[in-house]
Amino acid sequence: MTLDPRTRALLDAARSGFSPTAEDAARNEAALLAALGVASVGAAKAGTAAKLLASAKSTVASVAGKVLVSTFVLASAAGVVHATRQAEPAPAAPPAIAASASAFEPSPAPECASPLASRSDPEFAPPLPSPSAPALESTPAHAPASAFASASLHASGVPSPSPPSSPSPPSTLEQELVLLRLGTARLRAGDAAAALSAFDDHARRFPNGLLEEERAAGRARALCASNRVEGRLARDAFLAAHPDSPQADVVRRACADAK
Amino acid sequence: MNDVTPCPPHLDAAVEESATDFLALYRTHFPFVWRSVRQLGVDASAVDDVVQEVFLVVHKRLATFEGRSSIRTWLFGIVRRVVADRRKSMRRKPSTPMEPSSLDRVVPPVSPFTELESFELVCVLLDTLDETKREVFVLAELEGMTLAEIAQATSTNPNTVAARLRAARAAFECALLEHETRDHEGGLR
Repeated sequence: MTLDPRTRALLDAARSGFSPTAEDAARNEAALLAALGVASVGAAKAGTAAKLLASAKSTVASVAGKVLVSTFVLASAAGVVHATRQAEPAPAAPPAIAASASAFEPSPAPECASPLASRSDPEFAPPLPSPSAPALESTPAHAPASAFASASLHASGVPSPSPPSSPSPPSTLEQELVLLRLGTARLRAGDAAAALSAFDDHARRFPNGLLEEERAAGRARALCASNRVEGRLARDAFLAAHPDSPQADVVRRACADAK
Repeated sequence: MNDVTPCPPHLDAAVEESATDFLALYRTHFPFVWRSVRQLGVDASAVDDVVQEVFLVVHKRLATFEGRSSIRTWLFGIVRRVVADRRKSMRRKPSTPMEPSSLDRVVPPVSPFTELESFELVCVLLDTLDETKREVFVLAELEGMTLAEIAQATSTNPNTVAARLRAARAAFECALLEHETRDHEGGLR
């Protein structure tokens, strides 16, 4: 599996925060040289230490002079941050890792294709477009930390509208999606009980929700994963109610060994 | 400073050469070591000490570096041991989120919070991973190492790394969703 694009964007935006500043570099180099001057070079090597220190100082000045202004653009966001960082390029996003990772991975079960339900994920293909369905794009980033929550809802590749000028609450469909994604992610993380809790929470909050079918599928899978006897019943009920569901196979596989 | 006895010239030259090599390595890899220490969850207030400890170990061991692995994987092997030792000695305070550290010293006050918020959120999410998942995740997703490199850096094999990475990604995404769910609580209630 690879990371969801919005998770990737979050990591990319955060990466520079882990980097030292020029000030950090200068402070650390001076401290290290001081430590080495005592521990290694020794008093007898004061001349060498002094040369190293002088060299370090010039490098520090050079580094300080070479600071760059990095521009960070968040996929979801509204903002551009300018930060002064040390002139070492942050590591690039690792395109190779996904390919190399997949080479070692067994074929992922289809139900684990994405815990975050991209639009192409049949597990969470919401019944859209529907004239009555609330638009996914209606949710703004109402707080910086939640920008990614909103970003996840824009991860379909569909161009996002301009950032809205005022916050508005999440749409009902969006709220449904959050719970179902949570359930699926927990399933994939192997925590069936917690997954079931998310699906049950969805059932309580949205008994007639647009994503009832997805919830029923997830719930059946969670029950089967818990090895509970209700799993088979939930599977049978799901398959009876939704025989043509794109998730029917997923549920069958998940419940193949159900009691 | 006339009270010091000068070393023989050849020794002085050898020491100087070795020190120069070390300094070059230090300057090249200081950012990587710093990032790794931070990414493994060391608090901003302790990062200087940990990084210095790492490089003191590097200084001692540089002569033993055989080049069988890349210098970065070798360095990370030292980083993870120093960080693990520190955790043991400090009994790791329960998840106090890392401070924004130097970031707020250098970011102009006019800057929006997006990047800082992202950094802080990632720190919180990384804190939810156990140590084995965390190190594999940061090396793959933040440092761009290959599975083979990560295997060297963490003294394991690529298959294990792949399994850990898969689990770490799932756990990280799950933690992000948990965060989002909390974030949406207002809308859900």
